[in-house]
Amino acid sequence: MTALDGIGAGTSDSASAAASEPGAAPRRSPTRLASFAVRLFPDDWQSRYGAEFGALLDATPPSIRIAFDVLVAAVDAHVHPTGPRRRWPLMIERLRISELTVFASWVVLVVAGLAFQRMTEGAPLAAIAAGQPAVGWAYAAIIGGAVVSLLAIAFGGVPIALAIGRTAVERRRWRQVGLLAVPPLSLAAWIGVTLLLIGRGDPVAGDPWRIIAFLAWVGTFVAAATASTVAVSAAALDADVDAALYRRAVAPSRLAAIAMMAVTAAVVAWGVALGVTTPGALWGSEGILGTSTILTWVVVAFVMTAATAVAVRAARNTTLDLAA
Amino acid sequence: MQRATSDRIATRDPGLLILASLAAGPRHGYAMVEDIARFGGARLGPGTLYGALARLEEAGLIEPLDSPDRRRPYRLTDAGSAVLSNEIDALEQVVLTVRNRLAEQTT
Repeated sequence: MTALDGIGAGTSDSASAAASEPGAAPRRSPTRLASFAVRLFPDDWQSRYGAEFGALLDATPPSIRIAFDVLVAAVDAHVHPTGPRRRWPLMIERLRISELTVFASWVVLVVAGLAFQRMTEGAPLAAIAAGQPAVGWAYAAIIGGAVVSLLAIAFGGVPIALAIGRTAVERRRWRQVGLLAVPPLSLAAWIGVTLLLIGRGDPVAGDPWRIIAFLAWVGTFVAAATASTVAVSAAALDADVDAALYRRAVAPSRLAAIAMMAVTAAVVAWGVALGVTTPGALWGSEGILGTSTILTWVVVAFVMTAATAVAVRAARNTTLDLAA
Repeated sequence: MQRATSDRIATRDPGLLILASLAAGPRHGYAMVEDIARFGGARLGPGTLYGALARLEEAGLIEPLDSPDRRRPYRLTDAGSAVLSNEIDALEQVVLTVRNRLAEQTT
């Protein structure tokens, strides 16, 4: 009696269930659709469950519900690796998630910071920053915090990214190499769009092209930042690098979260200082695309506060993860 | 009818449904899906099924068997049988309590 003979041996119910399966003698290899679905899962998961999961997918009629179910399971398998072949202790898995959360939150803060920078680089607000010490100091604190957060992210993240890249090339994991290529390609695309827009010249105020150009520029940046963050996170979640790298990144991730708090507090202080020293400027129209200054400031401060809150929570979790 | 039964609260836990299905003997993925649809009224998606299978295997509640083709059957371990038994006892206790309360309301 083979092991498969046991299927359906329990009850007549199970026997009929096995017999009713379409393609009782399954193909030796999965269909292209099933193969694509299996490749959404982590490498170790694929090597353990890929063949049997592919067989089940081949026997399951495709539908939107099934596609969504598989997609959710693939994300879950990346975020919460399970099974006997889980690579690392749970502590390291949680640590990795917490640090990636800090990184993603930092990217969101950078995007909001770009909008703030765009608003404050105009002549009126730049002059106020130079003439009003309170506004100037707040602006200097924003720049200082941004630089510290950038250095912290680079100090903690670059060694991990290099290790992922080196391992991917050595083991010929081209999917990971492709994921790591997304940030430089995204940056190149954004620079290309910027140069294209510069080449068309500076449109006059009120020209609809000005709004379209600005939205294209910002949209490309947001898309590039999102794609880069998702790609790097996916590569990190699927990579088998030295766990010590994630332990070493704990201090930089906490420093990055603290610097993000400083930047957010300074942005809030900047708006308050502007309102106290030069109320007319705060209620003016120096915001993005000539909109209200205070509206742009409130939106930027809100996005930064939300991103910082997520980063601080994740950075605090790194302590719990290490203690687990 | 199918819609109504799939909304049952107690039968929404894929892990419990898988253990219950394997209580009748070893089964592979598709056979489990069909069996669970029949007795539990819920058709598990492939991703849901294998997410739960991986967790149950990691917990040592089920174990894979050898297979000559791509379909791999699983069976309950002793620990899995014990957990299933405990879960059923707990469910029975809930059912008994709720029945009594409903009976008290109607009298």
